[in-house]
Order: sequence, then C-alpha cells, then structure tokens
Amino acid sequence: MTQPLRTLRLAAWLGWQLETNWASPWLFAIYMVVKPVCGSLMLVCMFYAARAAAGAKVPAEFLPYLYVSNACFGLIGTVMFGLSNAVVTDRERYRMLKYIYISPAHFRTYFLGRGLARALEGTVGGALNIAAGLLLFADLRRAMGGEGIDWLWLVVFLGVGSAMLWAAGMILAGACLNMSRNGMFLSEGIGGVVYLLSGVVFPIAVLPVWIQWVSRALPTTYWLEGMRRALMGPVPADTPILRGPLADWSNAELAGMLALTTAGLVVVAHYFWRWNERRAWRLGKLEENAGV
Amino acid sequence: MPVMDHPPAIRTDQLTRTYRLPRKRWGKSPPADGPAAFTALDGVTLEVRPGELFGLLGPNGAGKTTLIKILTTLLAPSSGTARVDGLDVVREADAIRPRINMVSGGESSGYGVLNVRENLWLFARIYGVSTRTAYDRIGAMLDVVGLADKATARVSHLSTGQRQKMNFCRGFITDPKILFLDEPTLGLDVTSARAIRGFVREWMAERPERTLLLTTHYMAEADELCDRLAIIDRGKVLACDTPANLKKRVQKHTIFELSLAPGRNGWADLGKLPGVHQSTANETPTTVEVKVLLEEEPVIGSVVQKLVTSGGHILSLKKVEPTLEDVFIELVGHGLGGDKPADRPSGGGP
Ligand SMILES: Nc1ncnc2c1ncn2[C@@H]1O[C@H](COP(=O)(O)OP(=O)(O)O)[C@@H](O)[C@H]1O
Ligand SMILES: [Mg+2]
Repeated sequence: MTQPLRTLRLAAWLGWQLETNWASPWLFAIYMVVKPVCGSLMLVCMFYAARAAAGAKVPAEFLPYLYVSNACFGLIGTVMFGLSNAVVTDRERYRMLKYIYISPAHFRTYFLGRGLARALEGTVGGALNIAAGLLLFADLRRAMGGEGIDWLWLVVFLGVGSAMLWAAGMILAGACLNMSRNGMFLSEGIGGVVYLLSGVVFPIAVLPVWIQWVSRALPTTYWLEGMRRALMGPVPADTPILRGPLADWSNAELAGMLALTTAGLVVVAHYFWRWNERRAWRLGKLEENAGV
Repeated sequence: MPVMDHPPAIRTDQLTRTYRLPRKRWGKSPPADGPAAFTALDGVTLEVRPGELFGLLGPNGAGKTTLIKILTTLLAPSSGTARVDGLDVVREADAIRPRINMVSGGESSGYGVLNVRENLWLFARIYGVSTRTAYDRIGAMLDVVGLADKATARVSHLSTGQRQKMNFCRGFITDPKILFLDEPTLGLDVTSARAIRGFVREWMAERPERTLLLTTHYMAEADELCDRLAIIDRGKVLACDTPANLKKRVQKHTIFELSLAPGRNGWADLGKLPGVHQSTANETPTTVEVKVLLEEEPVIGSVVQKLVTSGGHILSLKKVEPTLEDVFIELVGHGLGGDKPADRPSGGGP
C-alpha cells in the first residue's frame, strides 16, 4: 500500500474512533440526533414567530428552504471545524501532532482522513435532521415529496461539495497550525460569516448588492442552492421572496460554477496549507501548546 | 560498536537556532532594549557514527530538545546544516522520516480514547509495520516497561508515568535506524528508569547498525549508557568524547581513600613517598580516613606497603573516580543542577 493511502485509512480510522468513542454508543446516537435537530428547531420556531407576526408575507415555502439549508450547512460546519479541531486537539490535547508530523505519514492526507470521519458524522447528522423534519412538518413533506429527491444531482453536488468542504477545512486548519488554540475561534468566526453569506436561512437576494457579489464568489452559496434543488426540486416560481439571483440558473450551470469556485478554493488551500506548514516548521509551532 | 565505512548517522555543522521573542502584547510593551531573538543553539558541530549510543548532557534549557527537534525534522534550523543518515534535514526530510523515530520524556501524550495497544498499533502501521509484527513488538515492549497488563486500558486511564512508558514503546516498535530519546527517564521511578536503561543497551547490542541519540540531565545515566557524549550548555558544545576520556581530563591525579584502624602510625608521612602528590588524613575516634592523590595508579602499592610495614591496619581501600559532574563543573563553572545561573535571558525550557 502506498503511503498516502495508508495514511488516509489510518487517519480515517483514528478520526472515527475519536469521534465516536468518547461516549457510550447510546449517548453518542442521541448526540448525533439532538445536536442538529435542536439547531433546526430553533430556526423553525423563528419561522413560526415571524409568520405569526407578519402572516402570509412569510410564505410556507420558507420553512423547507431554511430547514434543508440548515441541515446541509451542518455538514460544512462539521467538516470545516473538524479539520481545525484535529490540528488543535492533536497538538494541545493529545500532544501527538509532532509525532505524526515527523512520521512517514503524509501530513496533509492525515487531515483528509480525519475529515472523512467528520464528513460521515456530518452526513449522517444531516440525514437524520432532514428525517426528523419530514416527520414533524407537513410543509417539508410537501416540498420534498413534490418531485422526490433527484439522486443524480445529489451525488454530483455531494461529490463536488466534498472537495469544497475539504479545501475550506484545510484553509482553516492551515491557519490553526500557526495559531494557538484560539485558532478555533477563528474557525467559528469564519463559519459564522459563511453561514451569513451563503444564503442558509434567507435567499442572498435580501443582502445588499455588493455583499451579494461576495456571496457569489463563495462555493458554499452554489453548493447550498444545488443541495436544495436536489432535495426539493427547483425554486417555486410563485414565491418571489425565495427567488435569489441563482433561481434561474440550470442545475448544470450551478454545478459548473460550484466546480469552478471549488477548483479555485482547492488551489488556494494547497498553497495556503503549504505556506502554513512551512511557517509552522520554521517557527516551531508544530508542538507548542498554549499552556493548558 | 561503531561501523566505520558509512556516512555519519548524524552530522551537524555550525548548526544554529534562534527563537524570535514576542514583540508586542496587549497593554504591555516589551523592554525596548530587550533582545529580539534568543539563541538556543549556537554553532553546534557534532558527528555521531552509525552504531553509536550518543549522549547529549546538559542542564535544563541547554538546547538539547531544540537540537533533537531539528534533527527529527520538526523544526527548521536558523543556519548551519544538519544531516541524518546522510540526508539533509531541510531538503530531504521526507526521506529521513521513515528511518527515524523520537520519544520525548516527561510529557503525557497519546490519544486518550484509544487503548494502549491501539495507540501503538496506529504508529506501527503508519511506519508500514504489518499488524502481526506490530502486535508482536507491542507485546514485547509492554513487557519491558511493565505495562503488559494495561495493553487494553484506555490511555486516558493511565497515569502520567504509564503514558510516558507507552510513549517510550512507541519509539521502538517502528524499529528505527536512528532513534532519538529526549530525556526518556525524566520523572520515572527508579526501577522503571533502570529497566529502560537496561533495555536501551540491549536494543543497541541487538543490531550493530542502530544508532541512538539520547539527551539527559542525569549524569549517571549518561555515564552508564553512552559510548560518547557531548556536554552542552547554553546552546554550545563544550566537550565531546567518551565518558572515560572526559573524566580523565579533570583527573590529573589518581585518588584513593583508605580507612585505617585508629591508634596506629604510619599514615602521617605518606606524602613523602615518591609518586604521592598529596596526602590528607582525618582522624575520628573509630577510624582514620586518609585520602591520597597519586601521580600514577601503581603508586598505591608502595602506599599500602608503607602502611603495613609501619604497623597500620587497613580497614578499607577504595579508588575514587571523578564523576561527569566534576567534568561539568570544570567546563561550565557550576553544577548540573541548572538552576543557579540567573543571567540566562529566558527561563529554562520544558
Ligand atoms: N519556542 C521557543 N521560543 C523561545 N524560546 C524557546 C523556545 N523553545 C525553547 N526556547 C528556549 O531555548 C532554550 C533551549 O531550550 P531546550 O532546547 O528546550 O532546552 P533543553 O531541552 O536542553 O532543556 C531554552 O532557554 C528555552 O527557553
Ligand atoms: Mg528538553
């Protein structure tokens, strides 16, 4: 077996152990459901509050929109923070980062492996989240039942999305190599910005025009749009509030743009990670810890 | 036993490492005249031959860990060069990594949710060791450090010392060609430390091409284990030789201590014998303690003869060896405690 493959397998195994073994299986299962579903329910409550206040101005189609986006965004959070978290905990908690670094393990691939475990967790969490939503809300059943899930596009968007998630995660993880555990705050901050700009809980049409252009540079915007369509079909024509600037794009156009922005992100991630790894090696940051 | 016809296992040439010191902090500006950088290693030139058990002996903060970090490709040198197994640590790090391994003592590392065997297995696999071989080696190593009954215990349930022992095992199960041990017995109990030293010697004897670089601030450990050692202080190598040769440097005279039964004569004028440099005596009610400094070791014969012929009764006779501590004091001007110098720019390292 070649070294990168071996590293990938071992890191994924390790990641899975670290993700799942901290609690008993039952507790872990509950955590897997409760964490994402609670986040979604909070949004659902806000939706009902807004509907109670503004009535039909908040269309019923809004609920499936934000529910599905939020469930998908969970995957972004899990993978992106997962990678920074792997850097920080391997260094500060387990104190193994330096041993991994000086081993023949392929350092970058190691984090890909760790990310795979997180991605699996995120995917299962997202699926459970949507399942819970289907169970609880007729609006969601109606939206997803109309056309059914478009499996082909789902696979496409999940596939390109994985590359995007990994690249984004590596950018944050690279930054964390040169920061102490405060790096986690950076990751969370950036996660918040991405959440805001990618149109998770509202279409990007409500943002000021110049910010919309930032949104349109983010692959996450295209990814979420694509995931929504794969799961719920095209944006309903009769709810103008949900029709953002991407509503008229075809799925192929969306996927193409996602691939393009993802490619850009991958290139940035490649150089940024390399630069950070080099810098951490120069400054001795690969084992320094924040004194905890 | 050093193998001569190979490139040096480790070679450094004018190796220097400086650490940037933090420049600014919230609400606090550093002393304007303070140094911007701290030199942890200062022009270190060393050569370790294949097959050697080489020691780095120095007080806390001497730069031992920094040197090991550079050699294990964990840290960049600031200037100078370092080669491990003939490969450059900057340009050929990837080729060095499969051949080496490193263990730092005094830290509790390990993936807490994995058990001891899984932790070690993971690393063996990363180095390409097959699972079967890994299990064999893990079993053998856990026996060495007395952790066999903890093989399936979660690492988070181990004591710090037990984790350190596991970490020690991690260094050996990958069967490195060149192994770096950074203070491997730091903080371990006496029995465990002895077991570890014993194993290190066995491991080296097993295959002559293995090389081991060990740092320590315990002189006895360095003396007992190392073929050669470098004494290092404040980033500089002060001396590099076999322990015996180092000790010879400070020993211009052979020293013997004798204790004699009281009330007899003959010890008073030992100093006048040819070859006796100096003789001092200390009379107690039960014995007379005599210390003689001889120009050459065989002179002790005439000392004993003199005492016996003049009716003395020798209770014990013992040659006094200088220790590495004596060597260190001679070279540095203070002991190896490491806490005395107050003029160090920053506190001792971890
Ligand atoms: N990251 C760092 N930044 C600044 N100074 C450091 C850093 N790491 C080590 N030092 C300093 O370098 C010196 C040598 O440290 P070290 O190599 O750990 O010594 P030893 O292992 O011999 O005890 C110490 O004075 C320590 O304070
Ligand atoms: Mg040290």
